[in-house]
Amino acid sequence: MQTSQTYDRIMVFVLTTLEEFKTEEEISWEVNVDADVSLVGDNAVIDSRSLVQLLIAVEDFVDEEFHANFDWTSDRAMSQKHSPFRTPRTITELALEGVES
Amino acid sequence: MSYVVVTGASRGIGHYLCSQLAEEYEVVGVARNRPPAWDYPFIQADVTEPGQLDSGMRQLNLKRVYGLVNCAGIASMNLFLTTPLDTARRIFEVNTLGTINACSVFLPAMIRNGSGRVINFSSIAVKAGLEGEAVYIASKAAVEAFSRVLAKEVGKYGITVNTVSPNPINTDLIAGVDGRKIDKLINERQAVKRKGELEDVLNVVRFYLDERSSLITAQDLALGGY
Repeated sequence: MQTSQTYDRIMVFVLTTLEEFKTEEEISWEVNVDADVSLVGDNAVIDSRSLVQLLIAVEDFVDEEFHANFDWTSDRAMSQKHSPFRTPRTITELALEGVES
Repeated sequence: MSYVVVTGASRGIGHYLCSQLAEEYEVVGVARNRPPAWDYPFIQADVTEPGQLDSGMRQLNLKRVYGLVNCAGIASMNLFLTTPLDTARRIFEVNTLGTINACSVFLPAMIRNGSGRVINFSSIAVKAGLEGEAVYIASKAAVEAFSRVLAKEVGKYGITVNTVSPNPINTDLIAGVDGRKIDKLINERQAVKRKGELEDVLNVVRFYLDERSSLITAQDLALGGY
């Protein structure tokens, strides 16, 4: 239950942050931001600069809310076969790992 | 408060820079061993060990960083054919991967800060192509190439990345080098024919760190004129 609530809080934060990017014109208003929208690759809805800003925001959120470490620059995060930054869902899963570790 | 992190803080150029930059910035020193009579925040870490820097940064709760000065470095003056592979590996680990590791750890804190300055250390040996320093020069050339490309990747965050290439300075790094060889290098290759002083390096580092140097990036400054 605790894990589910934590997951939901992180996911809401990620999606809210992405929605805020719209007001800064970093994401088109037409994009439907959901848990599976592409954040990397050819179909990415944000550029790499915005992705880094999102990851830093998530790091701060996890630190402030859960006093935990979202280490998105670690070798382990970078060396995964599929980027853990593909979608809001995968970012949330990686952040949750940090909270639970 | 503008934090400036200096690696290689226990001795040589890094130690000197900490003492001088502390007049203008909040200096955080990084080294494997804490120097005696150390007055500034300190991260005890081997720059080649992933996780130690990160852990130290979190212990100091260092969320925002303005400057990173990567001084940690080693040298081994040997003809290539008499340089063991383990020595070559260690030189690359400290000089090249140590620099890359520190950048990886502290760049997010610079992005969070809204601007930043990365200063990496190369050497005039790269320009001079000195015999007996093939591996050391290769490790420093890699730092220069890395810095040029990194500058392009992080410029959008208001972060500059530059290198400084000191000429021979009386530090432990060149303590084992024949003095005649150094004199020959200075007299035959340098435009200004004198050894460098720690103040000369400080002058360049201050210039790069200056907020007004926001358009100075992807550059190398070789002391002495090579």
